[in-house]
Amino acid sequence: MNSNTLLRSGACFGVIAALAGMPAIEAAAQKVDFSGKRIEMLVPFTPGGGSDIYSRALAPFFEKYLPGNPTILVRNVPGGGSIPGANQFNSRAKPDGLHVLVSSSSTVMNFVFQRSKFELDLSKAMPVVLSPQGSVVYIAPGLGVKSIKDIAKLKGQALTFGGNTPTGAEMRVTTAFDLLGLDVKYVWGVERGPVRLAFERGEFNINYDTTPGFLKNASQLVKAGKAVPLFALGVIDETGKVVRDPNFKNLPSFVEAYEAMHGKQPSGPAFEAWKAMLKMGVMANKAILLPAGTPEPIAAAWRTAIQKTLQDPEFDKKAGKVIEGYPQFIGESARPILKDATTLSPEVWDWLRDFLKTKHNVTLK
Amino acid sequence: MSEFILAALASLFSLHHFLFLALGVLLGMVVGILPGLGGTAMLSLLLPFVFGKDPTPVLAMMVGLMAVNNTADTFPAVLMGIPGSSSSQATILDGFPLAKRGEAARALGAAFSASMLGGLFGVVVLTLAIQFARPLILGVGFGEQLMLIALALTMVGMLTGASALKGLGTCGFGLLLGSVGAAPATGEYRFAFDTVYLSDGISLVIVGLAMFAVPEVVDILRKRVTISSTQKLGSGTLRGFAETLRHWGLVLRCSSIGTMLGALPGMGGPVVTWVAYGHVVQSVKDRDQLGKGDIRGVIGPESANNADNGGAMIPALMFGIPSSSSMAIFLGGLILIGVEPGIGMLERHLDLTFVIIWSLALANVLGTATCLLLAKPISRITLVPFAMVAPFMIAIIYFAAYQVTRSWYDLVALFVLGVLGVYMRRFGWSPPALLIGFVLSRRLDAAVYQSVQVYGASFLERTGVQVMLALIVVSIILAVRFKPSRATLTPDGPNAPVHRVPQLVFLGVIAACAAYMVYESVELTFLARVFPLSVALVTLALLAAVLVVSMRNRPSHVLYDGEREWNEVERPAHSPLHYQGWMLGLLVAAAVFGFVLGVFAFISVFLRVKANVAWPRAALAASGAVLVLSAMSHFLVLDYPEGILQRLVAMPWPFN
Repeated sequence: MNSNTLLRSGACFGVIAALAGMPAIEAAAQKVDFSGKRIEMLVPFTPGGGSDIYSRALAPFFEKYLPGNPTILVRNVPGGGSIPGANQFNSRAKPDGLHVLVSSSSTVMNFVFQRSKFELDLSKAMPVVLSPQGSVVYIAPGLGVKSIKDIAKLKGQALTFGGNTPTGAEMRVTTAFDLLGLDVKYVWGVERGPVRLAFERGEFNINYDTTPGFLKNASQLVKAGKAVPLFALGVIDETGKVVRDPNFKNLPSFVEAYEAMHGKQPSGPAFEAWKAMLKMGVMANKAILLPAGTPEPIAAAWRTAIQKTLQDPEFDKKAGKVIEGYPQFIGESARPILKDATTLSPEVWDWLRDFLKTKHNVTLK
Repeated sequence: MSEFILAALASLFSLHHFLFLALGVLLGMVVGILPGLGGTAMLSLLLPFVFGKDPTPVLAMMVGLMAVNNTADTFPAVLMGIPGSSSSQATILDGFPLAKRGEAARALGAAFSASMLGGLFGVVVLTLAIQFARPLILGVGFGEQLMLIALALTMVGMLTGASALKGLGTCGFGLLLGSVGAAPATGEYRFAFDTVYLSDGISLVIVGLAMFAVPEVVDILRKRVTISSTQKLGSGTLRGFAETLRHWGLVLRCSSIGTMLGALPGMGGPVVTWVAYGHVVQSVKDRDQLGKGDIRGVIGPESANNADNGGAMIPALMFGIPSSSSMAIFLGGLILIGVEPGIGMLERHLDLTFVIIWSLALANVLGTATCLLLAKPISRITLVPFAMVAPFMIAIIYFAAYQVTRSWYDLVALFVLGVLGVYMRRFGWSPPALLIGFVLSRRLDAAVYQSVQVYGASFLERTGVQVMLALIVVSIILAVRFKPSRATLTPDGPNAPVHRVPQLVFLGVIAACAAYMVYESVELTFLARVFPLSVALVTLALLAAVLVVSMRNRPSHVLYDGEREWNEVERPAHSPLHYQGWMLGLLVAAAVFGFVLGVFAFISVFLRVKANVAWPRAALAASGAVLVLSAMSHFLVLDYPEGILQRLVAMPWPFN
């Protein structure tokens, strides 16, 4: 999977494209001055988690590139699937550029599925940057499937998958399994780390990992012949099409996996539902948001800071791992994705309700 | 391999590395002494520095910080009965009674030396076992995990208190409390009353504070002038140290428990110490003093909780699975500098692995040495009039509770559960039994479901499962034959069948909670309901048995009312309600003025009214607390609960 150079150039291209409109932004941003200020980055998760590391890796660069070199404080408000943190942000953060919220795919999913408990309207917040993060599905070698070509062999085999909750982040793969027509037994209440252990023990035989998790651990299992990567979910390109994950150019996307299985393109509400999950789980995996109504010059200062960070070779060298080379969506380019991920059509809702009810015995409110 | 170990040792003692490690230890002590903070706040502040020019000293600092967490948290546990972290709860059972006897220094001496030996034991095991640990850990599947949890649960047999019936009932209630929140099998919210706060369940930290710290504060305020009953600190630190050495067998056994359980993902800190304490009760002779100030009750859990650090490194380094949020931050640091913990870590970074392991050992020794030096001077706090200490302690307890999710609900949850804790103590319901049930509840629920889902009933055929099943049987036999030491029954003492209304009302309240959970379960799907429903029904049966025995007209251990230990002359001037009123006072003050100003008002008034301190000095002492709160807010990026005042007017830092 040596697509690293390709990928970096891809990411560079993304950044350069975004830079086209930069001089105007920079001019507006110059009027903003944060010197001597303390900026609060609210992370609605426990310290040490993915979003926390992401925030803390970016923080020193924001200090460097925001006008006036402010101090960035990362504050964790953990628990409740990030709802309390988001709500606290909603009630306390002023649109003065001194407060940003770090959201993750579980923030977005809870916003969609538990809207009544959310006081913050995620779709109205002003995105600074949106950082996608891919997912790879892999299986145990004992199933006899070597690559996507013989995916049909999986049909009818007893598969066991472990995850956290049927309504959580794992829906991006559970809906995929359903579309593929796989016969999967689900075991819930297991965290990602222990799931991987159980996969290695042979108790689970189908699993997925996010890109960093896969590169870090599961790829070693692949090398040792204990796991076979099947497909990466893929990412959505500018035209809205699902394409191969830039980190795993050699792996088919889910759409290709579907074609290999069924001999036709996926379509209909089921596919739309899966795409919604892809947007929430992969495309909107991490985001930094300013409160709605933040004045344009302040927002521009933040956008400039993230642009400069992404261009900084120092960032690439030291903290590039947190974005894993995926194209980053800066400012308004992130909004349609966020909006798309949080607005589901009635057909998609119906399909999801039915899916959760019949397959997982969970009733969505 | 040996050349790597030596090379690691050499780099450890290079001045550069050593200094940063020591600095980490020092910082870790400062934050570790304060309950509730743990190392996470400090560790996450260090994280951005790994991006600096030289990341190695930062890693050394991080290891130093992590290693002393479970050492420094013993101070509040032994001296004030406040669990500094979830893994020091069991230490309180004997550590605090020792402090109350004026033997705080001895208890601390034993605790710290046991911590150090346990920590070193963990490191040695880690060094020897690291090559074989992988297959061992992979041998523990869902079935084995279930059996381990069941084995841990049998420890409750040793911790029921005077009445086994009530103890088991309490444990059932603990299991029920632990089942609040998302069901492992379906993610449905159970007993959360449609709130976000309860959707994560009740926090162990808050339950620990409410079961141990709150009742102690109330109790001592009522009955004593100082924590220590004598005005001498008695024989000191060194005696404690010597006692640890004398009980080397116990240290060895508890360290093994700590390392083994620590190495298994999903067991971790709180389980480890309770199992270790249970094991102490199981294995020692002459148990009369256990729970009342037996030094072995300190040595056991303390050697286990530091050995746990070494054990926890195994899943962390070899599988990339952190056992705590401190460990998660540390792993995050490693990843950021390009070291990928997980499969192949040993092959790729054997040298670094040993540097980490031996840094842990060195930090343990450094931390212990510092703590031992501080033990005697800090122990003097037990000689200070308690009315002077108490308001600060109450503020610390609330502060610790607030660190859980940083919301107002944390404070309310602490107060409500604190009331439960005070009455449990009055009526002789065992807090450790509740804690064991609570700690294991989610794990048990999940493990039963997961084992059955993966294996059906066939998991019982696995060898590991059968071996552990045998251990469980042994543990149950030990529990059944176990005779707790208990007071003799007298016709007019606390166990007398007179004036039973208060305890029957309390029994009724507990039963009503369990019955409510039965009622609520009806709404849930089968997989979400089966665990809490079965536990609630068993608990109700136990409580019914308690009621039947209570109604007989003779003294019994099931009957207990701590308020009947005195005759009219000896009775303390104030009821527990009086001091709970004071605790509520801080809550109200914080609600009106915000936490910082509320603490100021509360401490000043308390010192003036209860300790007869003149207003100016009371205010000065309270300002000291405000200063500490402000410093922490500044350096550790903490905020405090807002009050009505902050909603109305913009207040300057730190009052906002």
